[in-house]
Amino acid sequence: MDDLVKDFLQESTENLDRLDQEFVQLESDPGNLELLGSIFRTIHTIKGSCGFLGFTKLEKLTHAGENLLSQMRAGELALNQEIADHLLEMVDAVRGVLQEIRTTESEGAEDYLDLIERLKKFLVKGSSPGTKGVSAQIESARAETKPDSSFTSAPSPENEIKKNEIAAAQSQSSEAQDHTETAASSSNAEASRQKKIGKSVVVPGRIGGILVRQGRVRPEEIIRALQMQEAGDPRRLGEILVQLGLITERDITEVLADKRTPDSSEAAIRVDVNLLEKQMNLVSELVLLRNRLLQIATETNERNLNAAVHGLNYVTSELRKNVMKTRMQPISQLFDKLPRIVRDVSKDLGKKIKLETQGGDTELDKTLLEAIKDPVMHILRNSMDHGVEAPQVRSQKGKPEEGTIRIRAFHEGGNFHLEITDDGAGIDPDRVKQKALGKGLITSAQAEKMAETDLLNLIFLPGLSTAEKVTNVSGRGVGMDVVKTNVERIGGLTKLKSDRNRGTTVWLEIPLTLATIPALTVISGKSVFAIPQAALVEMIAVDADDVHKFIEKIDGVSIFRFRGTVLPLMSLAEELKIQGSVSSGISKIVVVRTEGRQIALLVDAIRNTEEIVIKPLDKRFKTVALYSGAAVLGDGRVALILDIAAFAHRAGVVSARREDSAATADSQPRERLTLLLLSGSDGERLAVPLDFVQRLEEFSPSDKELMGGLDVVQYRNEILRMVRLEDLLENRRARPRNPQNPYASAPAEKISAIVVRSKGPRNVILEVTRILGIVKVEIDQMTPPSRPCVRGSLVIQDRVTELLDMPALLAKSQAVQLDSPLLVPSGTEAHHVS
Amino acid sequence: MSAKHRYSTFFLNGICFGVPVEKVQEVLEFQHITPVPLAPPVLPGIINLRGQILTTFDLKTRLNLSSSESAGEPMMMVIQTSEGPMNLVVDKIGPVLDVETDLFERPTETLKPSVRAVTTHVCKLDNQLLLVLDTEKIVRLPDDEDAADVRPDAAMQSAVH
Repeated sequence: MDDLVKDFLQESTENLDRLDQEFVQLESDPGNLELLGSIFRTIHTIKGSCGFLGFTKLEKLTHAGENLLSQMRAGELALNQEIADHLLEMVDAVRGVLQEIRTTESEGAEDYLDLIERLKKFLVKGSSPGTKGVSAQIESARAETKPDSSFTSAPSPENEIKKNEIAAAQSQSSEAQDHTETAASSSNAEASRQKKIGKSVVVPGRIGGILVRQGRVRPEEIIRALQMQEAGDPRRLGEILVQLGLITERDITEVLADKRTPDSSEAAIRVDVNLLEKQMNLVSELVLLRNRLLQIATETNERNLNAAVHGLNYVTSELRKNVMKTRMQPISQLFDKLPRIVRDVSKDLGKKIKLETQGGDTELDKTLLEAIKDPVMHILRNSMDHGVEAPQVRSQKGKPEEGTIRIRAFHEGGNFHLEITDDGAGIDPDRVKQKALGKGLITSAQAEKMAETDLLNLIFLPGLSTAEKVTNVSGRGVGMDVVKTNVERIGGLTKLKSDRNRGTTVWLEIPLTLATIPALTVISGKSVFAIPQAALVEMIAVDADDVHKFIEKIDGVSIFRFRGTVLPLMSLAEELKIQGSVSSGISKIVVVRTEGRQIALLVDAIRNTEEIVIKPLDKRFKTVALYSGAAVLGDGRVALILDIAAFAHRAGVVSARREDSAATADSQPRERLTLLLLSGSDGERLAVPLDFVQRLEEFSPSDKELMGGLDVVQYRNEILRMVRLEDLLENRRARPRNPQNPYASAPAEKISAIVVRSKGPRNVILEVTRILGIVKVEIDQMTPPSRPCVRGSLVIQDRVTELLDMPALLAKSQAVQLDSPLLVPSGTEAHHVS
Repeated sequence: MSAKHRYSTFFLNGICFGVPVEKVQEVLEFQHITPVPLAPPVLPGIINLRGQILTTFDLKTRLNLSSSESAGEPMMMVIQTSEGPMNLVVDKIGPVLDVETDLFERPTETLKPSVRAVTTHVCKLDNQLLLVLDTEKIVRLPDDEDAADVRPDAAMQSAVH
């Protein structure tokens, strides 16, 4: 159904309810012009909307009422009971038509001409009310017994809602009520009039009405059954109908089931958003109190208390769920506004743009819906303005003249996702780079190292977006930082992907609700801080002994080596100048991500994870700009919520590896690898995926010991097997070596080695000739391997490099270890063993 | 007979200040303030008042008074502002006083500018002066707070006594 019609229905229904009251009030106080004015306006509004929406019958009906009211307002006509009756009848008739529209989307067959005529007769120009009164009464009585009119009037929603509740709770008694009511209302005009004033009349939602509407029985048959009831048949209407063989039991059950699911617009009530807001806050408080109680209950271990608290726990969770549900709104509320904007803007720009939306029924918390409104508009305008090209440009490029913008909403992973795709020109990363360089946002050294996706993400930087020129040049960027900030403020993520000439996609990922979010709480000094779980990647504890291997300082900047990536490391205590920070020897590092970038945060301790309610922080703290809010924790303590994006900016992270960047969503089957480059004994290049490398170490030759004929080293309280990489690889040239002293050819004082992660019980130390460095490569093509334990060859830094097949290599080393305990001293050709 | 106004009073460095009693939500014993690192000193942090997060103002810092003289545990006064409740840290809570409008005087020029800026009027009581503060102005932080006022605290002392 059209939203306009829906709104009209809801609004009118509400207005009609008020009319009922006002008419009754007016009857006891006929001189109340204010009341009369209000009634007049209500009817007038409905009439106006009807004309607008094309409901001509309804318009005529309300028009008749309006004329009467108009005369009354002018003092030409005095309200008497008869007129009131008729006006109320009109209200009921309007209600009936509204119900008809609601169910069938049309006004229905009844045109109420009779009623309109009667209403007209009351007008002062017409015959005297005295003589007319009688005939009107008769006509009215006739109208009442006519099935259509008696089934299409509706009671006030209060009654209806109450009845629905009752219906749900005690269906039996409700049914009985339905039937008697139907019977009563059709009995005579007087009774029906009284009932109307008392606001309880027959409704089409009642069983007889439904049966007629669904075409299961003819109206006359209902009347017959009703007459039987009037004649004293104590049975219910349904029973009579079944007994008459007009319907089956199944009809009844189906109809009753139908009846109990009330029409959404009828059962809906309008609630002030502020009230909902308050309710939500209270529920949030309740959740916190429950959390505290749970903690206390766990500590005291009192059985009764525990039981009560668990009950409370359940109820609170349910309550929270329900309250949150009341706030959910379909995204179509936003979508519905977009076609108009697209139409207007594309006309202004002289472009042809088609908008496609998908997933309009996806629901989102109301406040979040409001919060993403502006960002979405922004992205959409950007797409139209800078993304989609002018028609002639498009046809030159071989694209259809009409550009398409697709907006798709969906739920995934407990989050709300919005995807805005255009098939426009895309963003030129080079231009973004030039602009960023020009603005001094990045250094040229940084720019060199930046991947394309990182360059694109520069458009989210504030400096880049505020400048008008960038908009014109880079094709995008107006307020993209605002988009990002707004989305991150509500705990969401913004991602962007762009292909030159193929288009741009912006993703928004937003939590379903702001009510509570899971968060990790950490400690620095005496303070507790919360990190939203969504930003959390990993927590790592590093032993004091190993700190130097994981953490390095380069030019005063701390770097954390993590799974082959290098992340900027920030100490929370240092950044926030927190006094009394204690490091317990083991460094606790929390790896977090924002905008696809990762940073490492050094904290004193990790506390736990808990559900927190985000409370906005006073704007006076905005100057600090490192917190996204505050939260009251389960124990009553207050924690500041860290704004991870702000920390990333503070860290000056412009480029870092993007684990989940838009690039991974790319359909191209490229493999991105970080490789450790090695030099073989012959100077050949070898590469090991860094994922397999745990540490790089140096040993002195004297560290090497023999155990069961195998080379081992003592390493971190473990005895690890040491294998020469050379020995695991088949060397075609088989350069002669001295088997007695295999290291004679390697007179180096240090042995370079890699500690390799192994799936087996022990890691393996791989002795290598030389470590050259680390490179990041995108592998799209590889020459097939020329020897075992090699995945293939590729060109890295202009050199042919063999990429080692680590699983195979490890398997081979394990085989050496397990199957050949009596292997001749190391240095023997390993491939003999395999 | 002139109209009476009712003020909730408190002390900072022995000086009596007051705010309209209807602006005071409640008075609290000093409780733990969760510091907000890197925030200006006038905002020592936030407190949890029955689940509500309140911004806390160090009123002495706000008025540029020296912070040396606080004897014993400070107190907290939660005031209602257009931005919602705010928490003020004060030395001591005084009585609620009824003051006739006759006793109102405009803040003198001799008051410290930082104090005068937020004072609506001065009431001359029998044995002391009562400085009535504008709650809205207290919580509005001037951007150039530090630059504006360099007068030593002593001047303030002599001015009000």
